[in-house]
Order: sequence, then structure tokens, then C-alpha cells
Amino acid sequence: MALTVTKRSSVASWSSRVRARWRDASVAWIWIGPAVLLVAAFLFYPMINTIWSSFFNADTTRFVGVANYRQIFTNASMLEVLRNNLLWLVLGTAATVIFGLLIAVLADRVRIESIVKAAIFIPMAISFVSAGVIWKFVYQYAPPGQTQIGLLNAIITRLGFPPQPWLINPAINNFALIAVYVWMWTGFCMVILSAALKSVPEEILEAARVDGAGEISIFFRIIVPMISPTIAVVATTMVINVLKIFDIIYVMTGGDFGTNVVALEYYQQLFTYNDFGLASAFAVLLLLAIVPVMIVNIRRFRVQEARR
Amino acid sequence: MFPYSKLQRQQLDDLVMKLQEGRIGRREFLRGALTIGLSASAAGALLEACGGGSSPTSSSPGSVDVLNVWGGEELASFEAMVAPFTQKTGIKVNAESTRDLTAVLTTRIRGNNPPDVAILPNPAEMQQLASQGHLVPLDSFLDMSQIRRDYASAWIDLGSYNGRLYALFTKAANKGTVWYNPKQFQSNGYPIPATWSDLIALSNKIASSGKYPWSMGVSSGAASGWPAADWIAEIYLNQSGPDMYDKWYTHKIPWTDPSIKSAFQMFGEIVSGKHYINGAPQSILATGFQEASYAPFTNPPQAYLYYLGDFTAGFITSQFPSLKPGTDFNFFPFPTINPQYQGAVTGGADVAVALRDTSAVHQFIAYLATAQAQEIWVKRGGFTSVNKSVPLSAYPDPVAQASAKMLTNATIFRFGADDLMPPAMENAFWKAMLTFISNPGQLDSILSSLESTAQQAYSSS
Repeated sequence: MALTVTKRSSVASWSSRVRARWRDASVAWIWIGPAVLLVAAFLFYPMINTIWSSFFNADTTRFVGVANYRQIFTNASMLEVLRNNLLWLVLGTAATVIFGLLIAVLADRVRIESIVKAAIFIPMAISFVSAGVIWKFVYQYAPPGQTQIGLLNAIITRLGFPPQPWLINPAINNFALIAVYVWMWTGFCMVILSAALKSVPEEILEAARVDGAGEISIFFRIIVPMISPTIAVVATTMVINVLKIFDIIYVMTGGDFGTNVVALEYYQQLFTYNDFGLASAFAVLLLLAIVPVMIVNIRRFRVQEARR
Repeated sequence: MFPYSKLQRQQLDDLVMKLQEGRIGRREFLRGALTIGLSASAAGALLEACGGGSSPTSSSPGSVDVLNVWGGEELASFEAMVAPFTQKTGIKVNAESTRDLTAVLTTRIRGNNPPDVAILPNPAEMQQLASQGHLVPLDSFLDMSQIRRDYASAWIDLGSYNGRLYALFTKAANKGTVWYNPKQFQSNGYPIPATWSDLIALSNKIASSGKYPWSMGVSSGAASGWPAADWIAEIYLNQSGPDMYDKWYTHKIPWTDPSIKSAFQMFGEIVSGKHYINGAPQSILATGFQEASYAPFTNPPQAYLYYLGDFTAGFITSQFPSLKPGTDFNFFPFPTINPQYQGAVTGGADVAVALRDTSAVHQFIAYLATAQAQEIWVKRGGFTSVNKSVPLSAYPDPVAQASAKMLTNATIFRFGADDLMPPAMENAFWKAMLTFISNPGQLDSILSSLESTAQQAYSSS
């Protein structure tokens, strides 16, 4: 008797719970509907269209299979483009994160900390193009014997070295460009890592110092492991950021002298050479390069959500 | 359905058209609208909706957007040239400059927001745009009898596509000029070279005395490399003649043809000549084409010879206003390579095309075509007009006159080959010049990659 009563009431409450959940879900859909539609129209559809075009020829009239991809991976200048992006990825991310961390740790111990952090952060306020123009003048080259108007060459000629064509010499121009990027984005890493550093409890560091640990081993054995989630966030953000790099190279060298990158290459393929298929293939490659980073990010979010 | 009669609606249409063409002002429009029978608020709303205002956007009837590649001195001259037009008609001319004109124009056309007028440095691009139907035929509104009086049929033909005139040749350039400092040549006893071997002998003579004979600069933003392409075109025309030249830019012969290789090698003699250019090859790649033109005229001179088109005169006079043309700076014609083709000259021209069919554009293009407008820039220097009605005496100095005369008297004349190629090919050519200058040893691979680009570029155009 008691069993049937509970069974009936549990059925009733189950269906009312389903209806309630359905009501909540439909309300949620109404709220996020417009956003989902916008993402679908401006992100999802173009992405599918681009992937589709990458298998067609220059004016997307004839199906050519993987010919565009084969061209990218066999043409020497296009392989150089991929190599440059890899260089940017590794060096750009490593330099910004490492310098950001270093400056955050050192600034933490100085009285003029806020001034230092502001000074490092200011370059983030200017656009990529402005940074490109500024540094183009810094790197300006004049033949030896003539007045050097480029700041860097002026300094090194005073020190007795010959002036260097920073943006022309293929051995150093990529590093010169990456230096501009690092100058701009170190501030971002520094600010976030500095916030994470302040969350490291002082007592643990005191205890370590009492136990006789030197500063360097404190840094590597205590601080870095404790803020490693933040370092991971910053690193993945920088990876995504650096893969898109375009403006600096466009303004400073126009992609010449072996500095071309994927974003600039597909811009040129699209607008100058009118080759839609090849441009789409480059865009797809960039997408594929970002996908693992996104997967790592999403997995980390899931883990964080689960922890809550 | 409408509360207004057919007559009233017609009167309103006329009124709106007059407003948009700028023939009546806003207050007159309002008065007219009230007379027709609109209420004050309706008239105000109609005025707002039909514009005629002074907004600077290109589709506004009170202004003309002109897309061009000019900057610095050239842009200042263009603005001086159109100032009387704005004064007379009240139509503002907004000059938008970019070195990446192809990309900007393509984007804007595709985005359905073309500029009103574009000044293309490239007749081939004009042909491509006309064939795609993006250009307004100029003979639909220009006074063709006046045009035929002012321009030789050769220029009208070059600006036509399928029998209709689409392009107006504004600024022509003589690209067969080598610039030098006559005073320096006199004091050092240098002869003016007539042939290529004379030129090399002179360069060696200057180099052996510890000085740098040549100045060269090819940096130009997204178009870097075009001055070097001018070198190749001039050498090729003088070496292999007009028939081979025509085959070259129409891709009837491959880029790997020995005649093309030989032209590159001749250019290489100057680029890699021993002690020819200070800081070569990096300084060539790092220096702008305008900056490099100053070298023979500094005190003391940093070089003695500079090759670039006659528009260089404008750069020199703007940097060194005290220099007198003819005595302090002058040019000699590009030296003969093959005596059969002596007097051959390459040149360039900026063509004005119309992309929007508005009355402001009609008036602007008609103004640009007149001899009076072109005389303004001619007098400022660095501009050679192909308008027959511009008198030779209008040219400000003996240098400009000599250049104009050289252009009109040339036995063999061709446009710069790079400007005649499809834009994709032209770009590849420019970038190939950069690679060649930094690495002349890679000539064969450069030419074969140019050939593979050509096969795609010419088939898709």
C-alpha cells in the first residue's frame, strides 16, 4: 500500500521535473538563441565555406582535391611561410611568457613596482600597426659612413660596430620582428602572472627560506608549480595570439626577405593573386594549428568546472 | 493612393534631383517643397532622407573620392591641380592614398563600395576592370570631339576597351632618364655615356677613384621592387627591341628565355659591380626610391648616377629647392645597348578611371582631361602631360621640356612591362627583383618560379 503511493507520487514528480527542465531549457534557448545564430552565421558558416573552397581552384569553379595543400607543402617559399609561423610560435610565446614571469617576480620585490609594471604594460596600449611604424624607424639602415637615423644602428655604430640591415638580412630579420611582438605583449603576461604570484601564500615562502632554500630553488620548486595553471592559461592565450600575427610583418617588411607568415600570405593570395583556393588552404592550416590549443583550453575549463 | 497628384510628385522628383546634384541649396529645397504642398515636417524629413549634405563619404553628391598611390610631393601636386575645380564647382575632392592600391580597390569593389574615381598606375588593371564591367565608360559623358583634339589616337586607343573609352591618361612618365649632377661631372671631367659600355667604363672610373658611382633604392612599401623592374624593362627594350618586348609582357615567350636572362644579368652588372653602390645589396633594399634620388645632389655627393623616371625631378626640387634644373641637376637618355634600337624609351602613365556614375564624377573627369588642369601640375614639375594642347613652354624648366620632348619624339615607345602585366604577375615580378638584388646567383630559380607564376596569372586573367 505504501509502495504504490510512493510510486505514483514519484511518477508525478518525475514528469513535473521533466516539464520544469524543459521550461528552463526553452527559456535558456531564447536567451542564447541570437548569439548562437550570430556565431553560426559569421563564424561557423564561413569556416565551413573556407574549408570547402580549399579543395577548389583559384576561382572556386573546379574541384582540385588536395592540389592546394600539395602546393603549399612542396613550394619552397610557402614552406618558408610555415617555418616562419613555427618560429614565431615557439619564440614569441616562450619569450613573452618567460620575460613576463621574470619581470613579475622581480618587480614584486621592488618598491617602485607599480611604475615598473606600468612602463612594461604601456606598449600594449598601441596598435600593432603603430608599433610596426615605430620599430621600422628604430631598425632603419643607412650604408656605413652615412648618418644613421635608425636608433639601433646609431647606438651600435657609436659602439664601433658596422650598421646592420635588421629588416633585410634574412638571418636576423625574423628575430627583429619577434622582438617587436615581445615588446608589446610581455606586459600582458606580466600583469596576469603578477596577480597569480601575489596569490602564493607568503608563509610557504618564509618556511622555505627558513629551511635554507635559495631564491632560485624557491622560484623553480615552489612558485612555478603553484602558479602553473596561470602559466598554462597565459601560454595558450599567447599561442593563439601569435598564430594570427599579420600587422607587424605587413607594416615593417611587407612579407619580403623571408619574413612572410601564413596570415599575410593568404591575404596576398586572396587580394593580389586572386587565388581563393590557395588562400582558403592557408586559412585551414591555421585553423588546424589552433585546434589542439583550443582542445587543451576546453579540457582545462572542464577540469576547473568539475573541481567547482 | 498618394495624397499628391502626379504633377506634384513629378515636381518633387525634380526638386530632389536638383538637390542631389547640388544645383540648389537646402533652404531653397525646403521652400520649393513647401510650395508644392508638403507640410514643414514632411519637407524636413524628405530633405534628411535625400541628402545633398556635405558629408565626406564617397556616395555623397558633393564630393569625389579619388583612390591613388601618390604621397608626399606627388600628392601635394595633385591637390594643387584639383583646387581650382573645388573652388569653381564646390565639389570636394578627397584623395585617398595607398601603396597597396590593388588590394584596396579589389576589396572595395567586392564590398560594393567602390571609390568614385581611381588613378591606376597600371593600364593592364584598367583592362581587367573594364572587362569585368566595373568601370563607367568615359565617352558616355565626355566631349569626345575635344578629347580627340587634345589626345593623339594612340593614347585614346590605349585607354579603350572593346571600342569604348574607359581611361584618361593623366600623368605620363618618361622612364628613360639617368640623373646626374652636371657640376660634378664637369669638375671631375666625366663624359656623358652614350652606350652601355661607356656607362660601365664611367662607373669603373668613378669606382676606382674610391667614390660610389651609383645610387639605387627599391623600397616602396607593398610595391617594393618596382624601380628595379623599371631597370629590367628599359634594358630589355633597348637590348631586344619592341617585338620581343611585346612577346615578353604578353607571355608569348617564357620568363626563362635567354633574352630575359641577359637583361637581368646586365642589371646585375650594376647591382653587384665592384664598389658601385654603397652598402649594396642591403642599402638598395632598405632605401626608398625617393630617398635614393637625393644621393648625387648632396654636398658632398654620395653618388653620381641615379636611374628612375622623369618624375624624379619633382623629388629633387622638393628636397633641394635651391638647385637649378639643367645646371645643378640634369638627365641623359638611357644609354644605347643595341644600336638597332637606339632611342627606345619606356614610360609609364597614370590612368584615371571612373567607378561611379554621378554628376560630380563626370565634372571631375572632364576637368582632369583639360589642358588647363594638367598645366597646373606641369608647372610644378615632375609631371609630363600627353595632352597635345599643353604647350612645351608650360614646362617649368629645360629638364622637364627635354623629358617631354624625349617622350613625344621617341622612335620606339612602350609602357613599363610590369604595368602591362596582370597584377598578380606584376607583384611576383617586383618581389622577384628583391630576391635577385639580394641574391643574383639565384637568377635561374628566380626566372623559373616567375614562369610558373606566369602560367597561372595569364590563364586566369
